[in-house]
Amino acid sequence: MPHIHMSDPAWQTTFPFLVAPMQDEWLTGLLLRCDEANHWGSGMTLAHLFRMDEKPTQQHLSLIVAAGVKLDYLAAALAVPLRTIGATTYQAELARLYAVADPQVALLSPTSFSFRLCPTCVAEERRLSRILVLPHITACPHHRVTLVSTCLCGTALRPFHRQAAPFACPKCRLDWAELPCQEADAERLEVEEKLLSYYKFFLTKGTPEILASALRLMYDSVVEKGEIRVPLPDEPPQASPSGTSYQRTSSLGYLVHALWQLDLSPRDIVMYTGPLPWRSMKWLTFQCPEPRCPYVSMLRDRTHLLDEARDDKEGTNGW
Amino acid sequence: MTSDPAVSTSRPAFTIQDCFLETAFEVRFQGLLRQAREARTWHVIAALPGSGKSLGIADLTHQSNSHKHPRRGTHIPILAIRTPKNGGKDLALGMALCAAFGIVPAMPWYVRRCWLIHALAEASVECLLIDDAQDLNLAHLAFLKELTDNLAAPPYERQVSLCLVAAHTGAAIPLKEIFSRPDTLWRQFRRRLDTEKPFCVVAGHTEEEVRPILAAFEDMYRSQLPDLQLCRWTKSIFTWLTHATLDPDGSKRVTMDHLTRLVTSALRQSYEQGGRDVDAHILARAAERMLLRRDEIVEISGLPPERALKITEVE
Repeated sequence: MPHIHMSDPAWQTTFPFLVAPMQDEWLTGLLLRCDEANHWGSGMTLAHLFRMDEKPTQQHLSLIVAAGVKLDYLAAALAVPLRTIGATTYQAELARLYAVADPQVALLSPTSFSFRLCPTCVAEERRLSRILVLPHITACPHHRVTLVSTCLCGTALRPFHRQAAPFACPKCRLDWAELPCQEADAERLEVEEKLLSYYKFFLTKGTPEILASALRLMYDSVVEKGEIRVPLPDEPPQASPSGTSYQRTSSLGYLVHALWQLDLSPRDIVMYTGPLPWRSMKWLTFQCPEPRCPYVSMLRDRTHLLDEARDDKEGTNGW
Repeated sequence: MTSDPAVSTSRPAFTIQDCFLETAFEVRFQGLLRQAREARTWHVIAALPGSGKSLGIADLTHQSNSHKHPRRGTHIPILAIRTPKNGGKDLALGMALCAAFGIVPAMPWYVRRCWLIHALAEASVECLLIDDAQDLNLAHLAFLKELTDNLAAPPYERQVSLCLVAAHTGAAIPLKEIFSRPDTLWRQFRRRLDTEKPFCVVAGHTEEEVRPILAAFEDMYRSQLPDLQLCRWTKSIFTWLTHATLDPDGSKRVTMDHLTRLVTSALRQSYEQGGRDVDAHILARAAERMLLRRDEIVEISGLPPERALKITEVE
């Protein structure tokens, strides 16, 4: 934790009251906590970050990829390393997965983003978790409560509102921590657990090759089942990073949902990466009579790699 | 003085030692500020220009363990600012107070006023120090009263000390005349000033107090002038520096600024001549420059020898 003494030149370049990012916290939550710690209105920190730039657009305000937000300035103003601020967005993860320098929100979800929160997370730690912005996630996996997107007064929740205090409804002033919690449906939680495991896989280990493999696997799987439920792009994903159709068909949210629908696992995707000579799902049980078969060796290597990756992931909580 | 011209040419440039000395003046001045902080009292504290007020405030602020921490919060027991030089109204003083906290986003003045009270309370400010208080105008003073009154009121209920540190000349104490006015505001302000020591003048150094300072200078410059013995010149130095030119009010006290200027000027000269100590002649010449030739206009023409233009052949 940084401790800034008044004689330190950083005193003048930091906010009056400091906050440090929590693990797995979303940038929006960090900015709101900064507003609250400094007794500022909701969105004051964000407005300050944009003060010399163009007016922020909806894309900017999603704060999932932090496009256009001066994260380095925020890191300096909070006296924390840039990487810890970067970890409050999915900027780095999406950039790696889609091999683009400046990923857009559409890569996560082609539809417009809706703000939701877990009242218990807010009550306990003033936390807005980063994973709650992922498409198709409707419940907090930690507290097992349904995410809330509307205030008791009927007003749609908005992360920032000039007239409101941080973490409060701009209309009725109700603190988000006091919003009612509804226990999430157990079946839905089970589905979302699976969806989160897909997200975890793509966001921690994802590369353009993995993405291509997932798309190819989906396509082959659909063809094998004889039903076209998942449209595929005509070109490889990394070849058209900004095209709308590309984003619609291979946004991470779409991809994860389709994989779940097709009952394909991250293990299947990893195994499918590479120049395998067959496409059938039956390859998983492939046995070769040749003792030094290169494909069997490759399969063994990839399985080993996946197991290692799983062990790594289990060792860390945030992703 | 022992000097060696050959040594002088090979010596590195003379280095001024920029240290804070806890002189008798600083002990008096900082003692008063500490007392004010502890008792949460209000004072107008005056001293001659060049006494070391600003350095004393800076030193006290550094010692006050002000810090910012994400978990432990921000703690500023002593908040010191300098009066805005552009005059202006309460906004200018408010901005100066906000700047002492670090980066504060742009916000309307009516919001900033409220924010400042929150921030002062949250940072546990115990003492407000306003340096160069002689430049405060009526709007600034009224704002200070409003600010401290709001802090003292619920929900904060926080009494803070206010020290208006001013430079003065002659017998007049800055702000005294303003606080003597019959208007309600100034009567309220006057009532908040400390009962026993509302207006204080912190005196400069006596001859006895100059001696330990010279001893400290000896230690500071020992590496450059190994045989330096300044204390033996205490009386002469004190006499020069209490000359009517430098002490027009006849206080018979020496300011730290004058003392430092005289000593460093003499030491530099001696050092540049290859000396290992300073002699009476060099000291007297430095004093003469400060006393008799202080308004002399020096014509700067020609180039310093080491910066002479080099001529190179063009191929």
